[in-house]
Amino acid sequence: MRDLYARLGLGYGAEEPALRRAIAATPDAELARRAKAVLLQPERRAAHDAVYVVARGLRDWRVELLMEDGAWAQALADSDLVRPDLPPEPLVSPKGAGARRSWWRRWLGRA
Amino acid sequence: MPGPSDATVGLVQRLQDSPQRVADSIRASALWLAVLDGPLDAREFHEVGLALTHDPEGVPLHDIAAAFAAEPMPKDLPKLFRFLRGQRSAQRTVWLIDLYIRVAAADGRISQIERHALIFLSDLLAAPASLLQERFDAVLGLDFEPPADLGDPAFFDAAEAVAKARAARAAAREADAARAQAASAERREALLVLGVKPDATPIAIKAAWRRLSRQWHPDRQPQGDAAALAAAAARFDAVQKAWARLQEDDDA
Repeated sequence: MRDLYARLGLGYGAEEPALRRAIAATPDAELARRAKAVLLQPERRAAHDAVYVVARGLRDWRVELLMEDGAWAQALADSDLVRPDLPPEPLVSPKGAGARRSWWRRWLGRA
Repeated sequence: MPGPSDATVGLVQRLQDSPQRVADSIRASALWLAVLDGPLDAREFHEVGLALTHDPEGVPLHDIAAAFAAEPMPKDLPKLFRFLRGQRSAQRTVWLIDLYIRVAAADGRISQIERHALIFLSDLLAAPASLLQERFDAVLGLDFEPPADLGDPAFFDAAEAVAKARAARAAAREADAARAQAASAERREALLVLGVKPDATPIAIKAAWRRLSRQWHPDRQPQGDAAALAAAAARFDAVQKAWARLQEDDDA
């Protein structure tokens, strides 16, 4: 699970105006897309935050109990909330996200 | 008056001082997993109660559940986990993972929070990742899916599509039930018009239709009385409609 709050430079429970400012300021387009679609929609944000609070607490306990090298921590190394010791990699757009252009736009693009 | 965190601080201390420290700590860890994603489900509580029935309770299960309900993530709970990790053995690790899986699944679903907690407990017991998958398959007959990335809108898109499809299926079931109820009422009405019982055979229904048709046919009525003719025609029409309705259901 990616820590959207940390990647945006915010803390958990940030107000909506601060979220909007951070989303507008981030250079990572994929991070901005995810944050807009998850954190700016109240129902989705409530579901996200319920899991986030627990996952964040468990991540802290992993550090306290020296469990960063557990088997699942290795398997889920791309999750910010399982491997806090690894620097977060930039989020990338899913493959095929730009493939929905019409044929004439593709043709213009080639020309 | 003690706050929620004070209650759980007291709980961890009580667990440490308990004469049944190992059994109580195991029960507490399972109850913590059960409470973590919302109010304690009776089936989850029951599943914890079924474990270690041969060991008496040093700290009552209800006290542990109440403390975790007040504060699901107490700050000093790592003390309990550290103790549990020190008590692990190969056999106990498998047994504990089975218990955690049963408790998590007792309410009929494995939430994302429970998935996070399961991988945490698996790492706490220093189990290989394959063990959790293997025991998940053995206990529930399902593949273990690691927690989803809720920072990805695709998760919510998929969940909302599933919820929408479920709602559509429920609406279709309700419409079917209403249609079936209306059809049943129409059939009862038709049988009443023909004067037969609901369990009448097709032969009896056809006989009733023929008898009533002959009885109320306009050509068989006295021709001078216009009112009697109209009443007979209405009865005749009703009999024919009832017959047509019953033929739709292949009753006749």
